[in-house]
Amino acid sequence: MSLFGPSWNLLDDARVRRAATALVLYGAACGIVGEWFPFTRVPMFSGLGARVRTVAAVPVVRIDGQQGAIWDYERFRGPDADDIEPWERCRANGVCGSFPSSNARDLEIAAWVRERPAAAADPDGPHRVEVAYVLLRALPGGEYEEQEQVVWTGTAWPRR
Amino acid sequence: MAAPMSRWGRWLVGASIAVAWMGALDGVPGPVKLGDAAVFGVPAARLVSAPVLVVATLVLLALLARFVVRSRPETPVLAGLFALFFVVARLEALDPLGEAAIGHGKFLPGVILLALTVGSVRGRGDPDSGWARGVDLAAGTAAALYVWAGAIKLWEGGLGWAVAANLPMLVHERVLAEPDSFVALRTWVVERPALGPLLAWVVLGIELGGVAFVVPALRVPFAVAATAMHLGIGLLVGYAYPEWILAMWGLALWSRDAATS
Repeated sequence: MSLFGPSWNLLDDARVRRAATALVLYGAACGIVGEWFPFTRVPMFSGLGARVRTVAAVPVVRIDGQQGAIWDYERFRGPDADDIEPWERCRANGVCGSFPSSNARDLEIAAWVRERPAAAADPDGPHRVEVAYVLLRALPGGEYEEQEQVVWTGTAWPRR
Repeated sequence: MAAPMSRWGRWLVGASIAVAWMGALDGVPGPVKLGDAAVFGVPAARLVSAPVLVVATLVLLALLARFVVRSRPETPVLAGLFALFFVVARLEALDPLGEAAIGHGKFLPGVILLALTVGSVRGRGDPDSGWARGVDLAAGTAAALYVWAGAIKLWEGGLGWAVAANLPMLVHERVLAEPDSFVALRTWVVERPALGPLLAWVVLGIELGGVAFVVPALRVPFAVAATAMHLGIGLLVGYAYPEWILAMWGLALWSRDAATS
């Protein structure tokens, strides 16, 4: 007797054989098909090891100096919202965040600001809005250097 | 009467399916984004309309109730549940990101449903009328997902995945992007660069160790390890897959009775 049953040869167990067959067949199908539900190779952050990343850019929104959510505001007044989309510049320089959701956020923030401009007759909003990138650089010895680059400054009103 | 672990297992797998469905509803693109696209000849915008989604959810709940309550597998119920997720996945894939837009939360519950469906098909005179075959097939496919999660990291980046700089950088980015979430813990990890490779190797070890899930006696221990990994990933980088945790525990407990249920 073994810990697992009557034999140390796991494949003597019909249940193990059944599950192992499913692992091999489904696993092979995932390898052949790639990403197509229900097949996947689970590529979550799998590319991190392809090159050692020493720089990253994280988009942040500050409302009156405090980090906040742009989705709570509207009637923006400021420069062209295209200034909020340095994604292509980031990618060209290899300076982007690790998270696809973060990298898409600058597009979402830019779209949010662009689609909610203040009317000409509106006064400036009571809140100062800044959209910035925090450039994170890994230094030798495990330390990190942070440098903030503001890409858009304007005003806004809270959403009604 | 169904053995107790079998009942617990079906409840947990059912909960996993329900959570995955909620995530799927959240991830489905809106009609404006879908435009004129179609899925199986049906306008996609119509498929994501509120009435259709409500009916689909009611159908899912009815099928889930039958799945949980019945002590024997019913192929139409299992196939119906899988089909609902398959259609939602095709809708999500209409996003400009394509297949990459499909939320990974639904993959494990989805593939379990597929395996249970296959396992439920009975030939004439087949003496096996219970869940055992489907549960073991589902465990094998679940194992494959975890093994692939580890293997692809090594395939795409070799051992570089565990290099010191990568994981702390990942966690540091999250500290900046989410200043209200577990900052103290995340900062503590970032300030200890030696933890980076250690955590990376632990994750790789657990994922590749998913092969152990094919052995019924090792399913509960692996479920413990996988739960710890998922909780750690959730705390440090904010990606939580409760539907995967529920599904693994469901299969692990179900396996204890699957031979007799």
